[in-house]
Amino acid sequence: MTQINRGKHENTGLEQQIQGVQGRYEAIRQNAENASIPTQNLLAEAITDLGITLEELQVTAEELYQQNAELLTARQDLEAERQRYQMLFELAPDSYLVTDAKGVIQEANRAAEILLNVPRSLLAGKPLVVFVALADRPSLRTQLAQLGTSAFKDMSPFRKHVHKEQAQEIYIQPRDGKAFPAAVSISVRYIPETKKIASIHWLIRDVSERVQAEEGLKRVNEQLESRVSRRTALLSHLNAELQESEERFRGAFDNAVAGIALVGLGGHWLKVNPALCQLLGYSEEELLRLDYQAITHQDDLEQSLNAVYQLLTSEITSAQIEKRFLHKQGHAVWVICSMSLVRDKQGQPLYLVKQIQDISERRAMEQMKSEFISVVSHELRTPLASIRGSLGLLAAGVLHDEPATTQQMLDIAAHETERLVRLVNDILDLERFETSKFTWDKQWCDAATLLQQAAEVIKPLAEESKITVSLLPDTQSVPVWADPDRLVQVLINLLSNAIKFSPRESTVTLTVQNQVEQVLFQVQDQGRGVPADKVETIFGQFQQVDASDARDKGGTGLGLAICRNIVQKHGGRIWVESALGKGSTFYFTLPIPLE
Amino acid sequence: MPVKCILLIDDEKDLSDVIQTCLRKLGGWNVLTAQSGREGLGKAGKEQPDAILLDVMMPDMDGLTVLHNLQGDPATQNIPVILLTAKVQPADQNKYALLGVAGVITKPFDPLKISHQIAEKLGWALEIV
Repeated sequence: MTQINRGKHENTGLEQQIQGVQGRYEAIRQNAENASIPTQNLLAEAITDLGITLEELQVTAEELYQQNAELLTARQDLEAERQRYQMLFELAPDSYLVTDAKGVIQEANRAAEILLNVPRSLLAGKPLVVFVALADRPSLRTQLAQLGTSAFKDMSPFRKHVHKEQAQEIYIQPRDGKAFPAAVSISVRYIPETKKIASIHWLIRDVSERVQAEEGLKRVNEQLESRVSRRTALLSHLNAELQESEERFRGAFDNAVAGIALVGLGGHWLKVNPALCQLLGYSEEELLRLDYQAITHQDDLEQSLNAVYQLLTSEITSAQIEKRFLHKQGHAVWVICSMSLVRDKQGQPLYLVKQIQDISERRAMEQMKSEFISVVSHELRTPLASIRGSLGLLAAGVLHDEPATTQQMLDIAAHETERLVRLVNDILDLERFETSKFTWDKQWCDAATLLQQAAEVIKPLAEESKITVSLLPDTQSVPVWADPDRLVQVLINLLSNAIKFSPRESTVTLTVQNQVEQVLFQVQDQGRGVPADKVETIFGQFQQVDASDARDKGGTGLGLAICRNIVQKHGGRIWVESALGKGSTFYFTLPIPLE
Repeated sequence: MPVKCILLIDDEKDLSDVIQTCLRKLGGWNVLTAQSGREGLGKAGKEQPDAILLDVMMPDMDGLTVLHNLQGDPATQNIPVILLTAKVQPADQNKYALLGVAGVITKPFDPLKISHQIAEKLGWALEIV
């Protein structure tokens, strides 16, 4: 039975008692009226008083009734509130537990039942600590102990009986389940009079997802940091590589043998390497103040500009031209200029990269070769033309009526044939000496003997020109390590030249001298001499002092070239000392081998 | 019709004799000879030949210098010149073609045809003797 019902019942009893008293009062008053005894006045007074008391009693009863009604209403309100709180407690999404001061569970809501995987009926009476992961139990026990001793003075000023703890995070260990992280808020209720803990209220919320999210976030963060770290390392590596690449490029640029340059589209030099500066004779500063056109040979400018135009219009992707730059000192420098165009990402042309290789030597060699072929061609074709012409006329019989001309043509044919034979022999000799296949028959021989042999061969020519060939010394033996036939060939060539260019009835002196490490030969004449600017060149091919010498003196223009070749192949040296109009002395040495 | 006169400038004595014989016997022309460029310039101005046969490669003054002087002298600039050369490379031939000469004959030539070649280049009627 509820309090309200009990109050109602109590009021009804009181009314019944009042009604009983009223009944008994009425019975007494009837009896008193019917009695005829002297005490009648006293009784009447008593009955009156009793009536008054009865009325007062009725008033009191009414007041009690009203109070009871108010109390009933208050109780009903309280009950309604309690039920609301109970519902809230039951239906709360978070787990809610009530423990005593020692942490023994008193009450648990439905969410707690699910969270801990234990029926509520079994939760009651169990220490909360058994549902906490082993690692967190010591700290929880400590916390409970501290709550018991400290906290009353820290009570909330607004709710005097409540002490709130900070929320914390611990691992909850449900029955037959895996421990999970939970956020726990603790509220402590105290008994104000005793300042003892009445109960501890635990609000427990599973934060696995949040923790997982946090851990996920942490992992992502770590991954991100790791990626940033790797990226930073990669950037650092790339930066180092770039720096190294730049250094390599700079090293290659600065140390390249060939000239390298970056040239702007307007032709101005943007960057030039030391090799190019050296090739063109300018300092870097001087070159950067000039433009490409200014130092390009006028005859090659159109070709250069045409190549650049073709690059700009994408007709070609690279170009290679042979051209001439103008050296600072004015002379032309032949180069191969390879160029390509650098464009930006949008394809707009930026600048030209040019590699410039010096081909002066190659061009000079080609020029020399071309001139040599031209000269040889001329030297061979000229006697051939005479031979073919003279014999052709004879063969055609057009000269049958001109015996003198016939004889003249025969003489020309014979003479030019001899010339051609000498020329062919000299060319072949030069060619043979140059090849590695030629065998030099070197041996110890007596230089004096070889001089005599050469003098003997040249004797008819000398006698014809009334030239005296003198040998010094005439008897001394001088051993020399040489190919005797080739050495005689050198001596004959030198003697022949000396005789050809000496005045009649003069003397040509042939000397051999044994020096310490070499044998020195001298051929001295009293001829016209060699101009100073020819003393070197006359040893070249077809390089006579006078171009007409080949015809007038019967030479081929190859004699001294052959002499130099033979002497050099023996490890010796040949040169001439001369005074114009007084004569020349040709020298050559042959080394004396140690063994 | 008067006999044509050709001035042959060539330093090669033997070859000069052969050519002279060819032109005289097979061309029917008079031939003057000069052994050097300088001698040739003098004879060209003085003798006014109908044509000049000029060797290119000569000492002292080469054939191209002689040609330049001939073309620069009003007295000789209208005399047709045929170059005689042993250089047969294409570059040389192309160079000669630009010099304003009547033609180029290369050595060694066919002695029986040289007169025909000259007549053809000069537009002359060949008078076979």
